[in-house]
Amino acid sequence: MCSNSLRAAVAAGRGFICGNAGGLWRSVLGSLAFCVVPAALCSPLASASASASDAIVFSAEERARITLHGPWPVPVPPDPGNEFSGLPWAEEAGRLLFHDNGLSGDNAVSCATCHQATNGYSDGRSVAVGNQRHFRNTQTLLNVGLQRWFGWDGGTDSLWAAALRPMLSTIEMDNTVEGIAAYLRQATQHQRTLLRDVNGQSVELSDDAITVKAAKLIAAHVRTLTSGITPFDIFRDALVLDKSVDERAFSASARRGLKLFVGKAACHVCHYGANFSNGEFHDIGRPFFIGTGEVDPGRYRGIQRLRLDPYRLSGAFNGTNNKNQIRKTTSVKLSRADWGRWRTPTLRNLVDTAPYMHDGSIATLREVVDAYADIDPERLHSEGESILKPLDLDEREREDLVAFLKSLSLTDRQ
Amino acid sequence: MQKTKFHLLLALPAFLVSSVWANDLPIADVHVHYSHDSVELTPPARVIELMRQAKLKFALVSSSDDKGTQLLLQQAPDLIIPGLRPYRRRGETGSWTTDAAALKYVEGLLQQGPYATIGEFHLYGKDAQLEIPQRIVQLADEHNLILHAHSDAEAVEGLLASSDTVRVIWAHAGFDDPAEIAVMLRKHDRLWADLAFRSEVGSGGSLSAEWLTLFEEFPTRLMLGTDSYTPERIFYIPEHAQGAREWLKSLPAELAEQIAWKNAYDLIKPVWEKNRQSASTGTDATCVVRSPDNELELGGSTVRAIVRTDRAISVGEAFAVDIEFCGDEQVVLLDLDATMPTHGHGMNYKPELGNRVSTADGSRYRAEGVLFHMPGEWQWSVKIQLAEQQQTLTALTNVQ
Repeated sequence: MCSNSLRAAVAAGRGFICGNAGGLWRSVLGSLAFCVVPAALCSPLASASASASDAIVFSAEERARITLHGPWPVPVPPDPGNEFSGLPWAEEAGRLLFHDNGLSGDNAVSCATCHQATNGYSDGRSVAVGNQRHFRNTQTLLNVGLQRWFGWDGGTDSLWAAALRPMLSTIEMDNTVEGIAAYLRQATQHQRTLLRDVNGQSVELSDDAITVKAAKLIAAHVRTLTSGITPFDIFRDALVLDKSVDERAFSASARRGLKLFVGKAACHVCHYGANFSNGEFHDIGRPFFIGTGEVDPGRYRGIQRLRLDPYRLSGAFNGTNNKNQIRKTTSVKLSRADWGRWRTPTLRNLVDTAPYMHDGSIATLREVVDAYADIDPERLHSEGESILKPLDLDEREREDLVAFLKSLSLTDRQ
Repeated sequence: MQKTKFHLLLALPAFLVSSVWANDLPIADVHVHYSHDSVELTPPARVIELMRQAKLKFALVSSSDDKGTQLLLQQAPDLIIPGLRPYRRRGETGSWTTDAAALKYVEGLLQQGPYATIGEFHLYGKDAQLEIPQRIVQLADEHNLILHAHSDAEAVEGLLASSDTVRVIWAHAGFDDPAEIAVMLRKHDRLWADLAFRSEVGSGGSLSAEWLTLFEEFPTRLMLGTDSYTPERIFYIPEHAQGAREWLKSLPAELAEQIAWKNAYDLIKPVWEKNRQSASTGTDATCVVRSPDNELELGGSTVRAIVRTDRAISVGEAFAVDIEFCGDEQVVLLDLDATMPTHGHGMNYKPELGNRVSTADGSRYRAEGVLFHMPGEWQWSVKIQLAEQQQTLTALTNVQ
């Protein structure tokens, strides 16, 4: 069986095929030898070509940091509180619901309206447009199951609560629990999975229960949306094995950018781990006005929303009640420093998910790098992340960082 | 040494152990090993659970290597008394007497923390005269330790002859007959005997006349043990204790208690307490940091604490910590936090503090839901309430 991430990548025609009689997942995690990727990427693994990039030497500390950005893919944990997470029938039922406009108040939009497969499950816009124009950028759903919190402000603590929130948002799908339930009760294509038990018997569900179940099925589907192996992953695995990679697969510029990423620029501190996100929230000095006289305070409001959310993990709709999973919800602190913090996004698939930042205010990766390199210390709160400072990067270094960031996307999208 | 005589044949039925009483009789198990393969197969918490289930008064634990013993000691300092084996792995029972590295290993561990015994080691015949066993006797004298010897009578006598003060627990009583054990016990008043793996003792729930005679003559010199020489036998600890209770019922209550736990307690416990006090120099010995990977000592006040994580710290993954306070002073944990001094911020979560758990030597708290969300240097901060003041203990840890 092919892993979800590989299935998604193959389905998307992104140019790699994997096969292993003994288990594909193991082959991807354990070695690249069985992975057939475009020739420019895979075949030079064992070569020791003397190219310009060979002159780039990573210190032991840099290698250790780079190692922590893999291996890829990583298993996606079950969605907390979602008793349907990981069930194939639920994932398929969720896929149908994900594309169903009937879940919106005016039957005009679905989840897929903003989360488009062709745009990395984002929409290419600066801010989302649903029932109204939003003030936040649509985030990618690829690898979203690896997150601890959901949304730019982390206002939801599970994927299923995150799936439900847009349906009830007046800005987005503008529906109500009653409206969703009424639609689902008459929608014949969903009745078998929503209104029957595992034995096929009809079940009576409250409006809340049927709506939550639909959200959990959507989340079961969304959890399967993962991305494939990138040039960086190939380079990282080769580095771990002390093998070289041809410059066509991972350019000298990308290598220099990687060295900056885990060194001088210290990007890895927040963009940590295999998914290039520590899953938490930071103030990087970006403006968060959403019009005259109004701000979007980010994480601060997100925690406030969470504490009032009836669908949070400590609420009545948690289907698994794992105490360890609930603890993040009950123990998260609301701090003054959360004002204007945003969740650290993944850096995978950036080529597909422009524009960038919580409000989509930066159009290109080069501008993103410039924003960090020339960050305005005056905008950083004294209680904020004090390691942020202007980076004093020259032109080539900035382009190198861009080259590295692009290496975190699938090859044919760069 | 006290030598009480019990006249079994004259004992009245009222003095015999009642079934109800016997079922709750504590047992001191002086022959437990928790060696490297057991550690891999059975978590320390499960071992302690089995010991509690067995209603052990305490367990004398020695392991190959010592890590298993220390893991159990950390889990249950009220239950575990550590012995030090000269073995780093299984399979060194026949080579240690000529292996300088084994001696160095013992000497090194004795510098790190207190023990009650050296052993159980295997030693036979004239090998007791070899240089390394002789040095072991010296170490026992220097560190106030009892020897725990799996030996024949000749080697036991060799050990006892090497020092005027050293005391020996004769493991399995040398697998000798009761009459031969009696000869040795009569001859050497610095000798005690454990009956581990002597399944013939109390076989079928009753004692043979030979064993009864031995117990009668030496009511204060015999003790019990499981001998978990394979990982599976850890799970035999409760069965062993219950089986012992069955045959102990046939003894007068006082004698049953002596053999069940008091003999071991009177011999080993004072040694352990003294060594622990000596090693701690005013602070409880269980606070000695043994595993740098997951333990950290907090200082900065008159109280010391150990923060022990339940796993290696990984960025972005929640974990639990045990905070153990050492010493006589009553400590109440008010708060546990951690900050990144060079980043200017702390954690985004407030760990959940559990209730105070009294230990034999202080107190322990558990904090759940600690999460370090960035790599770098984190500073632990443990705020405590003492009798008349509050203090904050701190320590740095680097997370990558």
